[in-house]
Amino acid sequence: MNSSGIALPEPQARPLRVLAVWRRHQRVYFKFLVANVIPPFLEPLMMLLALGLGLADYIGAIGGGGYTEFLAPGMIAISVMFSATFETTYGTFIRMEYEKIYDAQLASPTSFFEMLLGEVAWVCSKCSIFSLGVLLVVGAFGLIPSWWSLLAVPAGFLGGMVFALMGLLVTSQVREINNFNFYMTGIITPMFFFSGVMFPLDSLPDFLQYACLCLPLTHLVAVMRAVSAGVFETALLGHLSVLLAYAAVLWPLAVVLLRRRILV
Amino acid sequence: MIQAKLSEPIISARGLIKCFGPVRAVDCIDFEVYPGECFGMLGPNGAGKTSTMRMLYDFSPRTAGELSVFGLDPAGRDSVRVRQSIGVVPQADNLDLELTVRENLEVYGGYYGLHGRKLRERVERLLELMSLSDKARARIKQLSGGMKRRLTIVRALIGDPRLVVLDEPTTGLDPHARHQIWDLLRELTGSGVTIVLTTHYMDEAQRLCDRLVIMDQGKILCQGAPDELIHRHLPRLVLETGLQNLADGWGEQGIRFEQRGDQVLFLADSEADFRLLRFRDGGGRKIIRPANLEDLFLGLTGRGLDE
Repeated sequence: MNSSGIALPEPQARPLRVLAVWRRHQRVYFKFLVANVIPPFLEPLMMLLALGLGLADYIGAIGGGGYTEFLAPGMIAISVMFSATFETTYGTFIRMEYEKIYDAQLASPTSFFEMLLGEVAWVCSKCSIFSLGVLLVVGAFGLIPSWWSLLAVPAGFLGGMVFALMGLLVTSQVREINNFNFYMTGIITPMFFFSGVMFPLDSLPDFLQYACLCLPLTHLVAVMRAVSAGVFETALLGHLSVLLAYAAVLWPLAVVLLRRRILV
Repeated sequence: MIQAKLSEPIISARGLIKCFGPVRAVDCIDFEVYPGECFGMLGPNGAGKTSTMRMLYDFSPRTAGELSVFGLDPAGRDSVRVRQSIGVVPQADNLDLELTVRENLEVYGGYYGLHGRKLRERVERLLELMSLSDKARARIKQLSGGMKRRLTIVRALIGDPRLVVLDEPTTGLDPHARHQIWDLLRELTGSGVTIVLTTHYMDEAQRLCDRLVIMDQGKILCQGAPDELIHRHLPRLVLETGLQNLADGWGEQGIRFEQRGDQVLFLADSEADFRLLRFRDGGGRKIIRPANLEDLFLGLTGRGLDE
């Protein structure tokens, strides 16, 4: 019974309904394939060119290779973070407030939980596609040494889930679309700078290094770096566990808060 | 499929309450809807019609009271099962703008668990039903307002619902589109589908609804069949005329009246009663017509007829 207005979790998830929601997002996305896919691939490419070509000579060897080789795996992690973040902040907000897509979905016999699963699964899939895309781009420059780097695809899925859930959590609290600026400037941008994408974290003072270890992007970058090089050390398990722990904590929060936001 | 006896209500609400913070949008209402009927909810904006409807398909968790749809609690464990047999037409179209007409129906059918040939057949049938077949490949942005509305309505039918809930189905449409939608709704009730709709058009309510409620400020003011309600609350006839046509002292002639702007409506049971009225020489336009739902609606929800 749910007569008191308290959100009840709906545990059932019928795979076909989840797939139907996933398919909706996928269909809409592929309608504008060129506009949706090209810029996200160009961005890391430009960054690689600008930083790689511009700075490489000044920096010299880093982490056992050239600077561009150092940058490449981080590019994959960055594209995962940005695509999951934009999709679940601005994208979700527009679907929720302007297009009323969730109202349509929830008027049907698809449950809230199935709807959310389908949405997150799609964002994760998109992040996997992006991981593969960026991998191919940087691979074409000979910057990816190992075939193990294909593991960036499932790693992108996991990383995408963490950033998608973070984005959804923020969206559940945001009433005004411009307020996403706080999240972008306050969380996403610092993460971009302090997660070991552009320089190794061990050049930072200790306290900052510890702070950086709290950021999910740090761990995703580390995972991408490990699979790109095909070097598997026990530290990799640590990074994966942190990402999984993030997902495990964020899931129930996102379910409860977003439900409270949408079903009024 | 959920089975219900013909005589038992398909929807039953007892003491239904919905609060948004301190505001009581729906304030302890009781009503029943029976299988195969078209049930109307009338009331000014903010009366609580949409909030009531949203509780029927568990979009809105109710604050208190009892509600059963097909004999089940729409907010309970059977929520999804209840919605499997409901089609919803929201107040504002919420189609997938990027997709084509056909894709919209296919996607929505997926939410009802339809797929493969069954889905394709149903999509074709619905496109035909609303004469949208030649628009099947059009993007939503290319459709007129009437076509979008028609599509939203047929989309609600994709799951073969036993109950269709429509929030202002014809608002903003031209007369042709409205008639087309009325025909479809009559066809639906004819085939045993139950309809609950809200509308601001009194002619629509009078035409379509077997029974209706008039709501205001979260409460139900009256309910019954449209004609019966009019006869219960109002005299048979209305004489409508402009204020400028009336002689001085017109308000003291013992005939019940209501003033709406510079129009005055006199209400009486026979034309003979209107002979008591005194008009200015030359007179202007006077119309005598049967009392209608609009008279009742305005009387109940605005300046009172029974003061």
